[in-house]
Amino acid sequence: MGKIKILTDSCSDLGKETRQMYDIDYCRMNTQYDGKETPASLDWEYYTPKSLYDIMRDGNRVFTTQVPPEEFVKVFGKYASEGYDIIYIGCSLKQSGSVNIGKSVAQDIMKEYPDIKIFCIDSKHASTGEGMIAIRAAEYRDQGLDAETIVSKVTEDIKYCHEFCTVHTLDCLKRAGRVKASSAFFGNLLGVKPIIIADAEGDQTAIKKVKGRKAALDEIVTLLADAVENSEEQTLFISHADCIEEAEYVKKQIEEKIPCKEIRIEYMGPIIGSSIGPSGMAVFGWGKEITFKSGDKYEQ
Amino acid sequence: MSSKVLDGPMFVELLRGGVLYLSANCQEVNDLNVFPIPDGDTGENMMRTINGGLSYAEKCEDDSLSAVTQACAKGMILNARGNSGVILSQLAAGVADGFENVDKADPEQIANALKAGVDRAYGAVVNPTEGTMLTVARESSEYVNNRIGDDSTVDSLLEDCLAEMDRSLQRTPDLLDVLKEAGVIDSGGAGLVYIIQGAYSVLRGETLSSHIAAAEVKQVDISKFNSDSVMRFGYCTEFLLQLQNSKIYIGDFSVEDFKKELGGFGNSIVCFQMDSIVKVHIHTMNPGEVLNHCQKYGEFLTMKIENMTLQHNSTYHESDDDAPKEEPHEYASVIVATGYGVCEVMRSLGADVIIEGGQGNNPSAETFLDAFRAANAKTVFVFPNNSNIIMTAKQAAGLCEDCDVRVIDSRDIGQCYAAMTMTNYDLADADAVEANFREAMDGVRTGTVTRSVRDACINGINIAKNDFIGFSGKEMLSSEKTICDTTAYLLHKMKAEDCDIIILIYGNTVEDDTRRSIVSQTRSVYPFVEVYEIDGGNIDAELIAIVE
Repeated sequence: MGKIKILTDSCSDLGKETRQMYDIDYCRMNTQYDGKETPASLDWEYYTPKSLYDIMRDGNRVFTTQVPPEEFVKVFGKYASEGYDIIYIGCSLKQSGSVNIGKSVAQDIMKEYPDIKIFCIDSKHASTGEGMIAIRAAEYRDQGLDAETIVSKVTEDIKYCHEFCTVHTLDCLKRAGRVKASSAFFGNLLGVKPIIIADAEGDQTAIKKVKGRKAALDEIVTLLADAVENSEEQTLFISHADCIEEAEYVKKQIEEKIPCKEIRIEYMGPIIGSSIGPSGMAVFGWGKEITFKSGDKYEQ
Repeated sequence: MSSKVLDGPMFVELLRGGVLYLSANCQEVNDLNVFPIPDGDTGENMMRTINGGLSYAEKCEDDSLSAVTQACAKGMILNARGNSGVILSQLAAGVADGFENVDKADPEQIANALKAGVDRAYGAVVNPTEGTMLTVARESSEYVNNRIGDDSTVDSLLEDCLAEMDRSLQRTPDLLDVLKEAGVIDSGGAGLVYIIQGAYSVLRGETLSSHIAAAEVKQVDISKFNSDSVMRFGYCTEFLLQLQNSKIYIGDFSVEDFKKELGGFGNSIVCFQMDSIVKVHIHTMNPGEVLNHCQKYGEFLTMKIENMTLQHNSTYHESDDDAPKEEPHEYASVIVATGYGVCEVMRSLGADVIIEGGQGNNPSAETFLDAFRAANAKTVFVFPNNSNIIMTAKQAAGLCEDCDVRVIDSRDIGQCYAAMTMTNYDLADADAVEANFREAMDGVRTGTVTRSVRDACINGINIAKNDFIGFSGKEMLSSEKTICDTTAYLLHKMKAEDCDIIILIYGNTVEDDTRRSIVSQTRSVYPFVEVYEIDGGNIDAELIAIVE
């Protein structure tokens, strides 16, 4: 059986340590600011988080690009030439067209390397939710499953991956326009914090409002506790945009409320950071099936 | 100016002229509106549609005619309102298709694009009706295409187009009986003619304001608004504002921000900028406040203020007076508030109808009844925001037969803020929505800082006239010589350290420097609390502090 490479992209918010632990590589998207395009490194190789968020705190918008075709050509080509089958777990198609670009590049690469199979999967998630699905694929690979089986199992698993996210201010979310909510929701919220989930169709959807930052941090933990199943066997994830103290607070809350194997804290990379803004905070875990769709009534 | 070619930037210039000319004649177009539904909004709809096109075209970074017309078409399609707006946007989309890959167009290409526009508009309408805007567009396009020749210029083309449009417009009553019966020409066609006239005027280098002056004010029957009439619809207020270097740095003027500020005064806002002139259209209950506000930026070139209740009463019969135009919503909110900044915040939080009122300005039950009707919902939630107004609101609720009115007993604007921020209309039923509002009001406290009108001694505190005094509820908690100290002690007495959020609403008497020191002092005393500021405007206090 051939070797299998698991790939994800700049949206997956998996730090170097986690990627090495599960042997996962990623394709780079770009950030654009002031006419300059820079690869979106999950390890912040090109600029510091602070310099990115300072731009945003000043009220400017940092634009982001999909994974450019040439990046796919480079990364897919490299692993194909080394004899790997490739499974690329990409950011939700509702947020980025990267999976479609990946698919079209994959056609060419597979012509060049007829023995190699490349699969591009819409994770329907972003941030470490997408990362967790890539980790799941890596675990299947390490169990010795073949690429087709991994793809079909992971595609099913996507429905059970939960994300609960909150932000400090709505400015960046509004500017980036990547979260679904009514216009009244995005009104002048004055201290009210939205709770956002990845819904069944891959949209980032605001489901409720909570007053005050601390209440919002507590709320995402409560929601995660309600959603997860078999938590004792899981590694739960937290990802944050430049607010490590608060992430430690969230970790403590999870430790108290949800029994689990491990809690890992990841840093939101430049792409998610650009959409969500400084002090975004999200928690992730596996649980019951997600059926909620944007526009549904959320059961409180 | 006589041009052989039309390019992107020139198209935008012509479009601006069209928008301006249509806006100046908007009311006249509204008044012509009898087909298909005589709701008098054709001009308004066309304005909003073409304005959308203009703003997209202005933002287009590519100067090619193809790109600019595509952007314009996109903006118009996205902003299209009503039949006339949709047809107009389809005309624009067809024209843009006609200019595909064209950097600059000669008259023949323009004529072809016009034909493409007409074809697309006819294709988009299920039953194209002759005697409408479609006819005017088609006949003028055919005429232009027949007359195109080697010596044609953009000017001559537009001149031909306009001449034939005018003739075609005059023929519309012969094609459409309902126009003939009403003795009018087609409104959408008339709107189209104004747009082309505006464009043509720009081409001939005419100045803006001359168009505006040409706008006629329609005569109305003033007997329809008498000493007992209720002001229900406010004033249609339109003016040209000349920004002034003596008042602001014009380069920093943001028409988008300006538009947001206007949002606190009323609705139906149309606002755009050409060089240093800003055109404003707003429906407001208080035109005086709008004018005072706008005069901070410049001086007025022209002005028109019309009583829309009077217009309404003159146009409609009593019987269909109250017929709602749209299907009622499930839920709506009616809020009593004072101060344009506060009103704007409440609007942004989802308030559907705002009644101006508060301490010393209590709205009548009739005003409430009108507001309930205007809210047009099956269930209306009312926030009186003053203990003296709750009774009236409840009385009005008892009188209202059209809908289920529920008065939430909010005693101050803080409670209203707390409830409105947590609005959730997705709950199971009206009871649940109401319970959610009431629950959200729990735990919020509102403090008010005002000036003492006389010497007094309250709660053992001696107060001199003009001292600042801080209240929470009916209890006086602080009194000092400065607003900063009064606010500080008030927040301390209100136990602000236990809360998550402090919102400071300034009255317009509070200077910028003072605001800065109040907020920085508050932030340093309560580092773990989120502090927000609102420019409240003409609120009935120096400062309102909401802590939650």
